[in-house]
Amino acid sequence: MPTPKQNCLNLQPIVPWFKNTRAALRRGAIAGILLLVYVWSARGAHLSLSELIQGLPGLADIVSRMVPPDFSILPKLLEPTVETLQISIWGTTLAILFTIPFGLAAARNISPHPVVYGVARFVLNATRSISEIIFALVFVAAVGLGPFPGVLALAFHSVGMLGKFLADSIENIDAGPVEALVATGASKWQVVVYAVVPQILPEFVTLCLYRWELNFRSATILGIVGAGGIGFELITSMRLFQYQDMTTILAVILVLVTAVDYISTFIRKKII
Amino acid sequence: MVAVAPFHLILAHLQCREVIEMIQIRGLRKEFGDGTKALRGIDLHVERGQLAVLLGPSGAGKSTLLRCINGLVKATAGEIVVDGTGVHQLRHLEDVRSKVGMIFQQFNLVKRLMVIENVLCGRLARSNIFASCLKLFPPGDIEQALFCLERVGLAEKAYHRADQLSGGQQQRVGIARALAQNPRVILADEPVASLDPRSAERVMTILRDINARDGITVIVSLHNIDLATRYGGRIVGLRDGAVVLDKPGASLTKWDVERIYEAGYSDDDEMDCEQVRYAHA
Repeated sequence: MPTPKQNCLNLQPIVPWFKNTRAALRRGAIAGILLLVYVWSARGAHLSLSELIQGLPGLADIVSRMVPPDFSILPKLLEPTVETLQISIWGTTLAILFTIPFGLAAARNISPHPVVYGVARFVLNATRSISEIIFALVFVAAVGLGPFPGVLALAFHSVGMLGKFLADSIENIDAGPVEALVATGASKWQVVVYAVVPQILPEFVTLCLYRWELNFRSATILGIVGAGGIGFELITSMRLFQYQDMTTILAVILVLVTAVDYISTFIRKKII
Repeated sequence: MVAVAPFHLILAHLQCREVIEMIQIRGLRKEFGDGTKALRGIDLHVERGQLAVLLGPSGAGKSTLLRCINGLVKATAGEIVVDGTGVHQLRHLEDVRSKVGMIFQQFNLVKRLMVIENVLCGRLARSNIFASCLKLFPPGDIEQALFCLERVGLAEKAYHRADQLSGGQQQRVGIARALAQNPRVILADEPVASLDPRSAERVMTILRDINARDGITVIVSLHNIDLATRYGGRIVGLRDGAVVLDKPGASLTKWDVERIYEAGYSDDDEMDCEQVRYAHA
């Protein structure tokens, strides 16, 4: 028996609106509040379609000056590119090292004390909320220009995210093996090594690789504030209005980000 | 808190019985944070080398009682002495635990570790903490772990990952882990509740064998009456956190069973029979 086709003109809500006026009113109120928030933010952010349209010729002008890319500067880019990669590797590695104690302390089920737990969670939230560029500005002021403040900036900012996710995944482990190990009389560290680490390891490795991808992307702009890497070349060519060089640099960044994504996906697949 | 007699007096009182009794429980009460009274005053003595079955419906307090014995659950009041050591003395807790092996309904193996690593977990309490955290063990321990696996018939699975094994095999690894502790006591919390009948039979046979050959005291909680009567040298019936029955397994009567399970069990049983009768009619 063929199913009769649905008549699109004769549709009705599951619950007629007049049977549930409170829900209908609430929906109307939510829509109204959302609308107000958008209008308010648009005014604050000077949202303007006319300005966008007026700016189009300027944009076209820049784009036209960006092409063709000037590949003659490629040899000059090799060193800062490699440096960017090196910054991301050490930034991520230091972050992982810092993350382990904070992540353990911020996991409710194995944290030694509620006060330690609270402090660790606060530190993780604080470093996560401060952008790596701000960290980079601070560390450039502290240790001087160059890639090392970039490494520190990535490490400090990454700890926030890595630590939070590590703590959350520790809190979500199966408590059974932990109980079994405690029951054998094993000490706290032995329980962590034998019951906690194996359970969280695949997730944590995935997370660290993902963080590495993000850190490489961040490392490409750290140079803008003088913290090393290819970002310095980018800001220099922009300031000198060498837009064709800029295109080349952006292309290099694109290729490298893709490559890092590919490598990290490859490692992830090998591990899991 | 319940007033506790000075410890040396208790010790003096215990000394004579300690020789034959492995576990002494006196006035054990447990009330959880939410006000649930899981144990309402348990007195229980288990002799060395005994195989005792805790029988009772879910919620009777079997798991809580077992977990009080090795201090996984802290008793609200009462005394527990295991092999002459008081479990309430927190300083000796890891000591007591290393002498008490435990087997769980959900096996509680570390799934991503190899079978032999899981068994070696039973040696952790007596291992050097730094070496063991680097997963280094003395050759003797590794040999013993392999021997324990042989005892449960899984020597050839030693280097497989634990999650590659079937449920029954995983439970046998759980037993090998407990055996690796060289325990005086094995506590088994519903060890066969998640297993098919054949695996259950095998696990129970291994537990009985360990009890008979190694003289390890075994306390196993079950809710299957048939298994309890066939394997339990002694049956302790638990209901609503209290001991309602304590007698040799062979002499369990239908009336005893009703006392543990109240109307619930026998009713179900008879209903099944009636359904069969109707089906034939």
